[in-house]
Amino acid sequence: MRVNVRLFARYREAVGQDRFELELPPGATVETAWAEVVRACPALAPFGAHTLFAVGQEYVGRDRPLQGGEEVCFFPPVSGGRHVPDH
Amino acid sequence: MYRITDQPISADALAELVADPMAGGICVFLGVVRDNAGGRRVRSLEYEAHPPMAETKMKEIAQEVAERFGLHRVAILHRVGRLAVGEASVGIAVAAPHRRMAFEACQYAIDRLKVIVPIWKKEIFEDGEVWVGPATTIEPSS
Repeated sequence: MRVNVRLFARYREAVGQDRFELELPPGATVETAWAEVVRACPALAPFGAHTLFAVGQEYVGRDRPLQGGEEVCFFPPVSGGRHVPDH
Repeated sequence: MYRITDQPISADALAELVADPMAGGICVFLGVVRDNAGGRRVRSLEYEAHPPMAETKMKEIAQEVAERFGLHRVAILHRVGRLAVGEASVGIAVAAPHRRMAFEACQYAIDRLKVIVPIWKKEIFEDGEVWVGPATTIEPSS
């Protein structure tokens, strides 16, 4: 299946694109998509634990299953030490 | 009105958006670009948003204000693009029958905006630039 990935701020600059399509196996989750993006752009790996995810216009957890055609957004972490809850 | 905009934010325009004959007070908050960050001199700030999601989250904040304070006259604007020192990046207006509730609801709205609205900020210094992460501290709402 194919999903649409969107990147913002430092992620967009690191990857050099703000959106692209990603081919994923059936049953893929948000985490699967993130791992694919990190594989293509290892510079993002250190941010993994703090990245926030959205599908459509709602925040989701990294275990959220994806369906073909959905748009998944990766949001950069907060700097400045404020706590961002895991989800 | 809940909007991401590339136009300057005016306190007067915000106040007009929430004007209501029942109101005894209108509280307008403007967040503006400061000339320093972390001891470095800021030349400008650049804001980036996920506009449709940001506007959806702004509407959710207005719904929360309605539920918590019983106030229905709320306007939230956030600017994107490059802003100079002194320019407003965010504006919130709340109208209420009495002043205390206007202040409290306005503070609630800006605090929530910093938590759930997907907007990021880049600080541009004389000698470099850095994404400071989101301008907001994003956390999942569910």
